[in-house]
Amino acid sequence: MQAWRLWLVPLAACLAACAVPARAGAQPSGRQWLQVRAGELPGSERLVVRTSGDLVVTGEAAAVIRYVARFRARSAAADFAPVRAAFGVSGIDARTLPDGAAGLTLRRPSCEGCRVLARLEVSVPEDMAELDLATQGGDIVVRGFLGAVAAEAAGGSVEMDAIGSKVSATASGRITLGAVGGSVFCKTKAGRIELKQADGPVQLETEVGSVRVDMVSRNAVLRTGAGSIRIEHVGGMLRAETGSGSIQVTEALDGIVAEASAGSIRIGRVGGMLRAETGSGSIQVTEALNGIVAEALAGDIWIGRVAGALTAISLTGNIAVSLDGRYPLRDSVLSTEVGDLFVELPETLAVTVEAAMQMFGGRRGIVSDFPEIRVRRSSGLLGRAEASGSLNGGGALLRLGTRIGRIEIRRQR
Amino acid sequence: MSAPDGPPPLESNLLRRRIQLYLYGELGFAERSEIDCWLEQDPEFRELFLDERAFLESLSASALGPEPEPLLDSCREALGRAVAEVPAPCRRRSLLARASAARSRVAAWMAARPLAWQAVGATAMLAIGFLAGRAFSPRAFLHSLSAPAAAADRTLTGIEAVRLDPVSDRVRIVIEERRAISGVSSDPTIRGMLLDTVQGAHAGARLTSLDALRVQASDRDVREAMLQIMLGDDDVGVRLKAFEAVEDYASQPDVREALVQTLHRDRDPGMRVHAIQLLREHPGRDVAGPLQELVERESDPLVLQETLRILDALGASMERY
Repeated sequence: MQAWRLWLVPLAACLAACAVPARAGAQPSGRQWLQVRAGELPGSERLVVRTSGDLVVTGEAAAVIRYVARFRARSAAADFAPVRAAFGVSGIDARTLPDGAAGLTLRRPSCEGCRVLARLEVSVPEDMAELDLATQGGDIVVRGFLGAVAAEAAGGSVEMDAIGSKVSATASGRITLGAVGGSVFCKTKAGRIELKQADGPVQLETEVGSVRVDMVSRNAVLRTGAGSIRIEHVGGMLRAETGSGSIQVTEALDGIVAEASAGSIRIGRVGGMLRAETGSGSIQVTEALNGIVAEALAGDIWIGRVAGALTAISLTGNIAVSLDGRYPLRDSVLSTEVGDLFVELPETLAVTVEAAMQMFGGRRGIVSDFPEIRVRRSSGLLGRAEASGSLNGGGALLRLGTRIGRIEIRRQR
Repeated sequence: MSAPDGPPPLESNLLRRRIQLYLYGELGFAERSEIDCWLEQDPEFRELFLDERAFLESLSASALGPEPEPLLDSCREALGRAVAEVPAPCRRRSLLARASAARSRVAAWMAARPLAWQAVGATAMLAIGFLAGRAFSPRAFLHSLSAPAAAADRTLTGIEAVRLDPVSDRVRIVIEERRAISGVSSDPTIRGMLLDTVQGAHAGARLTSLDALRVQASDRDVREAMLQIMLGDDDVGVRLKAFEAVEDYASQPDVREALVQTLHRDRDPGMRVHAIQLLREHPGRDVAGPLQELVERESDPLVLQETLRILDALGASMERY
């Protein structure tokens, strides 16, 4: 322990002993009984709160920690004796912990014949280093805090905004995050997760619920067992996985791995390599700067501008690709079992094309706008058709294949 | 045809079938070699072969012929010019009279030659199928990227299977017709198809259809379909998508009823959590009774907690009496 901290422990103990005594009171309000307990603790680097019921923490430009606990009891019987007994043991333990952290522990009584709801509101110095919060059966709300926050809402939701450092949150329900100045790790059993902005890496997981993210400056991992994923901007790499739901990404500066067991995948712009897989649903990519591997078992694939190697595979879907001459293409494959292939090539693109149609390669089974790409059919009326040729002296090899379907190689207009 | 290893008699249906199989590329190597040998050695067989091939190619040419659009366009243009040259008052009478006479002639011809017109009809239908399929291209898929609202129909036709019955000498071609229809979800046709899709297609299509229908959720019919999906679909992701599509209408009685049913019936705790959290945002006395029932048997701590909160906010007792 550093020397300057040696005097902290006795000082904190003294301050705790001298803490402003909690005010207590209980009074009936209609059919309910209310009890309020409030107090203060000296500021600390870290605050640990263990409670049951709702917890609201607000950062303020202050030097002390203030808290107010409200208990509300409802009795099924006209006799309020059980409530009085319960309120006799309810309250809050405020003390400095052995490691120097400030600690608040709420005592919510069990009550036979009545139900007690608790809510703890805490205001803390906004420049504290860390909040460690946990509640049983309630929500956690944190606003305007410059330090790091770890929150666990075992039977409730979590909501945070204007957090200056990293956030870790686990919940049973919804997680809603505004602006976060550091990394974010969130996990919930059931509920949607929303994040406005994070200045750090992000990992968000929910078993059942959608995930919505506006902006992440670094890498992001987003997972849901069932629900859609939508993210506007990722400054690094993105991994998005859903069991059943769509994935929509507007922009990722680095690569993307997007996997959906069922649901469509729509990607705007991806700076790195894109790998997209879906079991049943379509894949649509507007712009990819470092290659694509797209697999759709039962769905169409649309690819816009792509640089690098392109692999697009579908079992029962069509594949449509529009290449851009400004984006250098590497050896690529487009393949579908039962579906059509449509490729638009710009005049200036140097590329070598090989196309094969396994069955029913009729007179128009393969069509090409380019005389350099020659189409050949087998002698059998229902046999194979092939086409090959080079444009602008040849370049990357573009292989096109379908078992049952058509292939069109068109000049870009 | 007198050679001992020559082909069977020319009238034999078996021989014609073998020529057809040869032309379809369906014979094995040994049989193909045999046909090639006969072609070289037997002029009569070669004549029959060429005749059979010409017949099949004529069928093929009518089905897979050159671009149909210019021909159709020129026919339309010629017809338009001819119609324009006829004075308007007599044009209608003349056309009607011609149509009536032509119908009589066709009816008499068809009655006299039933086998011929049936075969011609079948061939024509086959040709129409091919022509329709070849007439359109998947270019529409790419165009939909830039102009998703464009209203245009496309028909794509592919052959799924071809079977040759060697007994009846008939070819059976299974054609898969796929129509790509684009438009806004408010279009009655599109909306009807989307409503069909959410109840019957694979999960990916159901999810996308629900997305498309979301903007129509104010419509009671659409919402009713969504609520059915929310309550009954096998896939929890699809149920959740339907839930998200109707959550803006949580104050509507039909949605509230469905939310209560979800709380009582859905086997996935995640869906129940979504339902109770939405009801918490829109509390109302109408759900107090069902929630009091729920308190007695709910095992999920979050659902129970949220239920108690709602009852507390409503000022309702947390037990049934």
